[in-house]
Amino acid sequence: MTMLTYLSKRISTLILSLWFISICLFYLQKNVAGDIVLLQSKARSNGSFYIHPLAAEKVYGAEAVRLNLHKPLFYFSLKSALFPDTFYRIQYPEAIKIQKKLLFQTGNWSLVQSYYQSLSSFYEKVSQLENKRLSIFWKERLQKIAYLDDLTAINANLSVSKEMERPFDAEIRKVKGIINQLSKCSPSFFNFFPVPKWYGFENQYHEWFVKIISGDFGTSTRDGRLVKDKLKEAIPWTLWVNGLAIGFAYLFSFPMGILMALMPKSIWTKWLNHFLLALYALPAFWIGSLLLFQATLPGGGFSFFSISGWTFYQQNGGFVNQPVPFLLQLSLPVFCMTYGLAAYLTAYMQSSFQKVLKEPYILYARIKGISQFRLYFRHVLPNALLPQIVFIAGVIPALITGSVVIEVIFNIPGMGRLLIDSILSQDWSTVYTFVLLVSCLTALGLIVSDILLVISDPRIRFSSTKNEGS
Amino acid sequence: MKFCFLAPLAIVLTFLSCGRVEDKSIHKRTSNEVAIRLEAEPDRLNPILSTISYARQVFDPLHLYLMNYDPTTLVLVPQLLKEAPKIQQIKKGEFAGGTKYSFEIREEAVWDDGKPVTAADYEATLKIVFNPFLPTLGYRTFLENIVSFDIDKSNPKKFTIILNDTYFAGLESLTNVVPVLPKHVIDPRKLLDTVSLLTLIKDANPENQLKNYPFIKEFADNYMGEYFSRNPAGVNGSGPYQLVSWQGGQEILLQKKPSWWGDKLAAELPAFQAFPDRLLFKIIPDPVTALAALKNEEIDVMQNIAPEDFVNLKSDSITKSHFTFYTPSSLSSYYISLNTRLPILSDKKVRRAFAHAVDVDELIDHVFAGFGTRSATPLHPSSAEYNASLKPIVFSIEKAKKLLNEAGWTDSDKDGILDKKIEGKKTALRVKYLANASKSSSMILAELIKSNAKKAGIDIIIEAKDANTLLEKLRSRDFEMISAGRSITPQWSPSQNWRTDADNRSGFGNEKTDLWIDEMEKEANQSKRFVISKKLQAEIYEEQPEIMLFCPQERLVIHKRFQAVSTAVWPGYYPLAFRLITD
Repeated sequence: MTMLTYLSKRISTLILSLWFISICLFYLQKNVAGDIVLLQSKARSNGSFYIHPLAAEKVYGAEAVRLNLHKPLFYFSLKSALFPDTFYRIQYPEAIKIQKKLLFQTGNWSLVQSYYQSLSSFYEKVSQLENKRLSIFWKERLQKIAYLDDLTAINANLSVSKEMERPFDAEIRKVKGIINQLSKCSPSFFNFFPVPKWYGFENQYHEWFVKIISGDFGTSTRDGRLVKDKLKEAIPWTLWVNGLAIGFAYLFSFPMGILMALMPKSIWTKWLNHFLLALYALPAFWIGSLLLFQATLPGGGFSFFSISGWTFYQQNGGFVNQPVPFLLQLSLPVFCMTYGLAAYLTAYMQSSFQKVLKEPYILYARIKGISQFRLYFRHVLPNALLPQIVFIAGVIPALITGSVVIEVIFNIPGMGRLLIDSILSQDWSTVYTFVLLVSCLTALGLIVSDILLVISDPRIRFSSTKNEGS
Repeated sequence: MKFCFLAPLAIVLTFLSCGRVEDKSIHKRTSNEVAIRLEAEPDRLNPILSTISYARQVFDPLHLYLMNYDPTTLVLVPQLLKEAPKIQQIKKGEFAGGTKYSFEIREEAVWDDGKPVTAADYEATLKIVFNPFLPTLGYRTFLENIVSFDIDKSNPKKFTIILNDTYFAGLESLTNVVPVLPKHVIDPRKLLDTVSLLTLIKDANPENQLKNYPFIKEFADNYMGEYFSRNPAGVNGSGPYQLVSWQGGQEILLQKKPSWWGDKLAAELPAFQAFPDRLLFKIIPDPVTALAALKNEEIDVMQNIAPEDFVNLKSDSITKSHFTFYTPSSLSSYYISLNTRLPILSDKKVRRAFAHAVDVDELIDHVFAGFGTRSATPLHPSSAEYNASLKPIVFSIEKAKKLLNEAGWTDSDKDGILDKKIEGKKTALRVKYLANASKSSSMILAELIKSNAKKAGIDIIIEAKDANTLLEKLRSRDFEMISAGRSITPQWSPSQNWRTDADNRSGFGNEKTDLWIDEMEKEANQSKRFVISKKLQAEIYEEQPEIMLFCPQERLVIHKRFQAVSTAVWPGYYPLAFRLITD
């Protein structure tokens, strides 16, 4: 198989999996706790705002239209035959819940619908009433009824004293009539089989996906800014911190790992091994907090670091204008990001180097009398590096995903903090763009590491079936 | 022996964690700039579109309201208005039963470009609130009673508004809900002139409005953009400060306008005081990082400090030498809501027994380090409206047991949990308690209540949920017992939470209390209103649909170089009144 066909095959599977991820993300977006309409309308129901459940559909529905949430969710739906084609048009969550329950009990959609409509028009008439006593009574009663799904209980709640019922005789009779009809209905067994329904391209997922494909990631639901802009602002910081951290980790771990592999019996190697293990086990958030407090102790700390110092470099050109103070400001978070990774990579490098040293062909090369230098750098090192290539798949996304903990502790306005802030404020459009971006980069990393592996190791071929090289 | 290498490491780490250097009493910060820590980044600096409460303290210095609350006396005083408006009851004619408010804006009030602030600006602001394509639902409830808005033909600064009802908080709704925005800046193309305010108020349906007034959608789309939320030219108003810069995720800088028209009035009117040269809002979400920044004197003001951290800071020599500590009462309260619609909780004796089984004092002392004041009603004990004859319910397992026995609950099967026959079925006194999983104080409170209730024979099952799920459960009344908090407004308006047909989660009330509430909210005479209010509080106390826990005290530090006063209004300080102390 040629490189090109291999690549096209890999890329097409990647696109498929990315498409699948997009569907998962969309599903999550729609099913996460919290009401997006109320959240978006400054109407969180924590005391500042309240709508009567029977008046809600009108107000809430209008908001849903404004937010473009009034369309079907997906190209098709697979729901029980009980549901009408137009069920998605009901927007208010409580109304959906109750109508669903009634529908499952009775199986008659048109009756359930007219029940709810008659209740709503009943409410409308009540709210126009002059008589305060009556209107308060019936508003409360209707609110109670609107949350009920038990037909007999609804009926019982509609029967009150003659004097209270009189002004609404017609309405009560109408609702009771429908309840009576409903109580005679029951769904047949076959009604519960799922039936596919086709909605066409005018659905929420399609519109969302087409936008994403065309590079429009939408606006943040938190502050109305373009998600693209928010990511663009955050990426450079994370690139700096993570790029430096990963760079330093490799710079330290390669020579260190090789040295330790070459001197396995030395007392230093033993000590270093323990030390690296301990280093690896130290949680970064703890070391980060300690460093931060050291940095902010008057007189005694690392006075070059300032918690709110990032703005200064943001405004003054950063590295270009002040390379040394800028790098010093970065030093604490970079250190926290580096030490664990460096410890891990060193141990890894050491073990893979040692493993290659024990291979028979190395022994053979020694017997042939090859020079030490040539042996280590021509024969051992390339083979010991092979497993490291696999790490590249992880390094590429890691460069921009950032570390939530480090960025929060050191108050760096990077990707990790953007992610956690967006999650906490339910800004899903930013969170999902972030996740999509990371998925794409992970996929890219996988491809790059595959290609590098093939290039560097002639034993690996583009297809596993033709893997006869070894 | 193998692990002896850990010793030097441990020593280094111990040194790092405990290192203390003698304090220096010379302040690092000396300028007349107030650096304030923000827990979260504002979403927008737009008083109408912003949905995050942290944004308010950033955009408020940019604007003026018709009237505003004085931060120390909590009295509504004129700001853009020349004087408090004349209020008239309308007896006859088209608007009979309504209330007429006559306003006049100060002559000297101008926008930054010298154009006068007029009634048309306020009308345009209200049109934004009622634009069906903008997410302003939360504000409309305050203002939808407007039935007439008239601008004086001879004086563009004079106008009258008529509300279709009499409502005691009508003045606050009309003057303090939204600030006045510059019409010529937000609507240079005069799109809002195509539709009248009353048309927008009467019909909130976006589809209808779009048909008749296509321009309002165009306006809304434009207004939702970044220009009116982040750009200095788009967010500035008639207030003393202007936006200079906003570094995403880091800081927002406001600067005092060099020649602000209100400066001349500041000597006589505290509503126009604005002493600091700059207000710098630093966004530091993590509390540990924020404390480090505070000790490093990178910030001057920090509020909402965790009680235990606050106690530690108070005894820290470094922070003591640079900062003053404040604990003003905050206008908010914590309570436990009981769903009285449920058969188990429908008996008031059971609810009162629950109240006796909660040890509020222990809670205040141990979870909130003593920073709380007990309250027997939904109001703050310091308010004049508070019914002081009601005493907070004391913690007493004996009383709880007695009340439960009176209500017919006995331990018939000797399993330690009381039971009773309800509708022919033996029911155990077992209640699900919803707690906020992400708040440790909420979880500790839950455990505390559970262990005390057990002694009284009540079995409480704790269910920890995230904040959004809790809100949804509250809204659909799908709960048995839940802990919650709410802010208290300077004027108590019980109709939202205590009327039977409103957002009444516990299910409190009846016809009688609903009529009281209506009567109370219509009563313009304060002392008469307080009489009804106290009656209502007594009824809530008697019924105990909510177990009132306490009103927390704000934990606040402010840099010593400022002479500052704390206030009960959130966030507990008013930076515009910070005065730099010069020797």
